[in-house]
Amino acid sequence: MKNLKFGVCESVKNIMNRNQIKHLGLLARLNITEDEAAVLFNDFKKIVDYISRLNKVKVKIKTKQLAPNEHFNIFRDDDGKCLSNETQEDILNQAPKRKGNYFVVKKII
Amino acid sequence: MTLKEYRDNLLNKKFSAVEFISEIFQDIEENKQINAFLTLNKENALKKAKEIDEKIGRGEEISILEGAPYSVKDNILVKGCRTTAGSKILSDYFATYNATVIEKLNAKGAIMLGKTNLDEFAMGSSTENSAFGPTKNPLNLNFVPGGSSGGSAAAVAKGWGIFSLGSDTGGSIRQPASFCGVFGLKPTYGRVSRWGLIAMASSLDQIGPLGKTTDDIALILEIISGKDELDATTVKKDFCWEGQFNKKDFIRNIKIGLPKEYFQEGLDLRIKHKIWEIVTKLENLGAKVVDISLPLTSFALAIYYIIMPAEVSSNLARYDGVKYGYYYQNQTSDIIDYYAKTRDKGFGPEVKRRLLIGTFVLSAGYAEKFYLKAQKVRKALVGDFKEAFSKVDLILTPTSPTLAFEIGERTQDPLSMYLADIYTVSANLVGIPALSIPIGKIEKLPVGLQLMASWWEEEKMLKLSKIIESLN
Repeated sequence: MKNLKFGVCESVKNIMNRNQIKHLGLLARLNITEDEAAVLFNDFKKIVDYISRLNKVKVKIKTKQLAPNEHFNIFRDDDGKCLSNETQEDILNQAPKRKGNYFVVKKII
Repeated sequence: MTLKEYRDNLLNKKFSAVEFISEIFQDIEENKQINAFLTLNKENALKKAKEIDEKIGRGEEISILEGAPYSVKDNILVKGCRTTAGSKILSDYFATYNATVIEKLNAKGAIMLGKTNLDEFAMGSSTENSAFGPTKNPLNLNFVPGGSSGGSAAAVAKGWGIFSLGSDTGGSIRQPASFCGVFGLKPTYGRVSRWGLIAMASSLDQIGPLGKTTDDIALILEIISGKDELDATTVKKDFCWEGQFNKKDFIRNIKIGLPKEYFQEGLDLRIKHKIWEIVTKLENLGAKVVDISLPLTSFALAIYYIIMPAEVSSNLARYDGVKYGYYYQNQTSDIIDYYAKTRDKGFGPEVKRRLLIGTFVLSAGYAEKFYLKAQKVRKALVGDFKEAFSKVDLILTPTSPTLAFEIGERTQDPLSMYLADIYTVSANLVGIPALSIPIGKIEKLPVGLQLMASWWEEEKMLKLSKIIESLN
């Protein structure tokens, strides 16, 4: 995956293979099977080819211009809100597993 | 039926709200094959209708929206109501709060009939990607209704509610409105609160109305728009609809731009002729029509299919089988395996495709090549539109290059499905308002005309829409 040139059909062959699809699956937290990887690989070829056409566009815009000054952060006071017991129950009851007022998560370490 | 006609009929006792709404539910039942609704709110709706009838019976005044039946796309939260976003991963999710738009409509006394079908998480252009089966076009059941707000467009076309709320990320209100022969409006980014909208691509998503007339969608926009403390992207700008205006003066002072890039190869010639008929009529009424160019148009869809999946991959990370929704119940080796299996079983193919593309364009080594480049070209596209709106008041194009296509026709080729949005994505990328207006039929399938206006200029766009409506 080095010195790649985009914007031509051949590029997709260079940048993608089925194993890489499976690796992307891992990053996206998706369990991609071999069969799925084969289908997705074909879709990927077409889609990446299509979006690669952007490399033909020459724009003079610099990265720092991408934070346009018309956008600004809106802050609000860091104060908590009390949920009613009913709402709290509605939320917790939708969890696959709960213990009292906590969500149960599979052991991480 | 329009909102005004409905209200007049209620007040003149031509029918009661209970009668009208009961008939709708019966008709939905008799036309189940259209599959426009995922959940019906029958009991509550009829209870509310009875209250309105009693109020009228006591001789009390009712406001324009009181008792008016409407539907909501199933990615907008209604407290206590099942909200699936068309996905298996949320098939048993019940919303714990109301979206701001629902609060606003509730305050006006509108009656929610049910939640409409959509492409899973609003990802699609045909409503075939729903985990609960496709919606069919009510004008011809072999055809798609468009998407992703296909259930909403089909419901409005069938008269199942006077209006519907949809969401539009790349054309998801306008394209189905076009395919089903109704009006569909995507407001300026920041005009309508997205609090309670299940996020797809946050720099593009907007909620908007679908309806049968310009006046109806304009009135709904007036009600649902405005600054909301719960959505930091909303802007304090009022929208007030004046349906009565001097049409002659308006049309004589309006300059309409036709971007040449929207009338080139790929556009169905029959649609082109239909659009041309309207343009000629507008010219005859005194409108100035000029050719313009939006040079980056041919790259808009490529920008969209980088930025949208990138945002999707981030927004959909929350579905992990821990807090709510579907979860994988068999043995898993660790938490990562649990997430991956939950998401693999819970998401459909198009969502997975976009999650992978999004992860790819944001991954080390490619983010600059794809994501950053797309953001730069997006910025340049904004420049194209600013330049265009310095010369014209409104931009007029077709909504879709084709008529509604047959069910199954494009499902095997994702890219051909993506091309259905080629005329609509730019408005989302640059944040301007856009509207699809029904202008007649070709071979019994509706044709939509799209108007685009400069930022916050919905009023101008809706006024021209009202004039176009009167030409049909």
